[in-house]
Amino acid sequence: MRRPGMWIALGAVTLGVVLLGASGCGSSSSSGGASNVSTGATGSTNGKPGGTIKAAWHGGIDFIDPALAYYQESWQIEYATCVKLLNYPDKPAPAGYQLQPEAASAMPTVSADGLTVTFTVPPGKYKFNTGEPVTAQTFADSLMRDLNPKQVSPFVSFVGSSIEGATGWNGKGTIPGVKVSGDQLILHLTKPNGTIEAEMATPFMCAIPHNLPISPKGVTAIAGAGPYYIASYKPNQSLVVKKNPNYTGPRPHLINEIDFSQFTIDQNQGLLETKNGQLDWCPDCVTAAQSLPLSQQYGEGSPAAAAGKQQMFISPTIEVNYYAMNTANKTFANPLVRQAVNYAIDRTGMTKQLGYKAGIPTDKYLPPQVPGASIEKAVYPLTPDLAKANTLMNQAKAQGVKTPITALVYSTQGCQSCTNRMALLTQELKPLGINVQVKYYQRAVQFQEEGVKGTPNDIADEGWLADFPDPYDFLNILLSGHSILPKNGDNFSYFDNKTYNDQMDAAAAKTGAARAQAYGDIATSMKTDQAPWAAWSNQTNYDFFSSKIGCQLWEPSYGMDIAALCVR
Amino acid sequence: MVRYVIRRLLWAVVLFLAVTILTFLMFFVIPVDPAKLVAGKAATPAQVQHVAHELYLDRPLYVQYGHYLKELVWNHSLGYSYGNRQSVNSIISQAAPVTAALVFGGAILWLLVAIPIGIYSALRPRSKGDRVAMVGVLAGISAHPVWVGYMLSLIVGYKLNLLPIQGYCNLRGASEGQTCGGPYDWFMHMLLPWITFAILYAAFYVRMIRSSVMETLNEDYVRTARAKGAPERTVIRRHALRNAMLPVVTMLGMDIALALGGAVFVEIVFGLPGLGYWAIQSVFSFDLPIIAGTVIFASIMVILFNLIIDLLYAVIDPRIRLA
Repeated sequence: MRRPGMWIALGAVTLGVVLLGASGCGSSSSSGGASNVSTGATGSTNGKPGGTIKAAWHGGIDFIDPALAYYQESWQIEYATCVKLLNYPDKPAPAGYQLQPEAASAMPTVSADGLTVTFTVPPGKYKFNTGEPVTAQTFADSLMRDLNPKQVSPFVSFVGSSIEGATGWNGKGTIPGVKVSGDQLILHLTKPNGTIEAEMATPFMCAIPHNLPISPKGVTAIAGAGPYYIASYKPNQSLVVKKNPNYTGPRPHLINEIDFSQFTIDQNQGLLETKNGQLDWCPDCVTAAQSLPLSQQYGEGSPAAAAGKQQMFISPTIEVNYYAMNTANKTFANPLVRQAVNYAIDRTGMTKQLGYKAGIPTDKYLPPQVPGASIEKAVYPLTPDLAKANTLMNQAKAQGVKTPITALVYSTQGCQSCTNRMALLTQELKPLGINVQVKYYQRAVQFQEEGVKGTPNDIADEGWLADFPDPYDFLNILLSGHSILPKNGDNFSYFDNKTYNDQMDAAAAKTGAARAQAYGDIATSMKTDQAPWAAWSNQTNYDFFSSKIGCQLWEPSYGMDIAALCVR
Repeated sequence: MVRYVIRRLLWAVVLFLAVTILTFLMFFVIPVDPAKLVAGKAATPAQVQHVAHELYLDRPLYVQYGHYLKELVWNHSLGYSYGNRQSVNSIISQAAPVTAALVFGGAILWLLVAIPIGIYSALRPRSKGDRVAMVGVLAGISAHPVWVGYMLSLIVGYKLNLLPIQGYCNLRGASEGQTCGGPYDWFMHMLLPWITFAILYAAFYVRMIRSSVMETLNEDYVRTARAKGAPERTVIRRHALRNAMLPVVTMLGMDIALALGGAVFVEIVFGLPGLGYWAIQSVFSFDLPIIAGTVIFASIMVILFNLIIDLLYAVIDPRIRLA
């Protein structure tokens, strides 16, 4: 008797097997390995002038308006199109994070009391693509536009309380603390600020054309005085960057044009197009899953690199991943318990969860490129020392700490490496008598829940990417008691120690080598003594180019240096 | 007829209000402060408060909703994105044609495939052709559009280089910075997305048309038509198909309306900057104005298309009364 249904079923099963097999092709395993990350991309330097780079983004930029732009990608563009008073040179680390004068003729002079900062800006040293010269007034305009309350610029949170008269300014007239005298820009501060140079070097202080209107929605056309300028911008659609014909400065500018033709590209598709040359670069397309096969085929040490055509680059960022232990809650109120956690966790294993060379295991609070990082000592091991951890827990128990302890951890939803790490954390803290319970949130929600004073979480699974390579942007913002707010705070450890608060305040007023020494010492002693964090890695960044593009240079503050790129 | 249309429009207004209220409430329950996201990482409470005031976020919920509705009805404004402060109107007006191109083109393709195959299968049930069709239907329903899209891109786009891997080209021509534009580029870039989008729906519609036609062919009036000596082609075309298409029309309207709200998977795989793409991005970034804008637009499409389908019913089947 015929059984037609059986044939359909057999056909379906066969088809299913074929489909499963096809979907398995091309998969790659990512064994995380965090060693041997280079100090930054330095691709071939033999480039010829000219050419156009075809690029696309997966996530896009937020604004081209310097007062508003805050995405990493936006700042990467502005590094190529802006001229600032001070800037970071087109060099890899460590030279790449040494601020140097750009539009200013020299580093600023600071008065003996630290309250007056003077920049000298020779007029006409730089010009916008329109021919307008850059002067001291240009930067005064930029600063006042940023601080105008109608502009709603994030830069207010950087310098709003430092500049005399800026707090409460209604946007009319000028700010008393911002003066121009001839070719000098003079800033009067409310208190000594050792971070002012780094803050003046952020893209918020990009030179802007005279009379650029206040625009809380962000301007969509702006002249540039850097090696490049933004020739056209259609929000969410396209961005064209062209060589500034009036640029006569020392920064590189071989490429004629960079066209970002898409802001919505799928990461996998972006990689396919880059491999076959339809695209030259997609800054945010390489995922952790793709990093290993791309590195093997196109990365450092690959046959492509041996032939002088490296396409895949892995570079360190100014970022630190850490577990913030809530010192305001009973669970981690005792520093011995926090120190024990630092000895118990497997930093190397956790870093591997990020992906192939996606991070560098560390116990340091300051990322490698930040002043003070080389002075900060490594204290805790990269792999677990359970004996030491248990010794510390026993000391804590002798002081009245009772186990088992339940530790509530807030982590990020939809992040596979987060889930894997939480499993490791649970396993690693269990021998100490600490039972981990994890609650997952969408990233923006997690951030806000952790930032509410009195939050019930005991550990915050966090990371921090610096706005500028200065230890203030890490220690003062994230660990000073002054940063604790009723809500929207960033000090997720709720660490409020007067000794360290005073030390950080004092360090913030220092400059140069003294500043680096002070912060390095603070980070070491805070970590050893109080251990509010268990830092575990510094993140890296992936970049993948088509075979046509060379001269890759990783600038530590802004990432892949667009101005330095060339056609091979 | 006129009374029916007026009654439907009034219900549409009620539905529209309900959707806007629900969308608003849903996203205000989530404890995310957009003002903090905009103000910057180290913003003081005063600075966050200032931003909140500028974004109208420090008013009571009902005041914010009233303001939103007023802007929507009087100024036809869906507000501004929290992320990049772009007008939601302009985002949606750019995204809607992309989604419309995908959905309508995909719908034409799936109907061109599903109708002949469904009718053929209905007329020759359990034949070899019917069985092959049913296996194809099973594959089409089982294969996820994301997987189908990636496979087509990889094989047809990357390995064989027959069609573009991904991307969208403006029908009217390339603007500065874009690498493609014009009708030909637009069409070639839309082929793979259309095929991907159409496969799932074609599979469903083959099955539906098959069963609907088979059911209709067993009706008395079809038997009567055959008994009167009408040619088979006439029986099928004039008697069977017209009735068999009623459920298809219903489903088509609903599917197109829902898909216009965002053919998410296909848009993300092929990098099409349509409504689905924006809906997903805005959810992940808690950009309420865009979320609300896409939901409202999608709701309007569903309401509108339902009305069109109901009116179309009266054309297809005069027995159906509208009043």
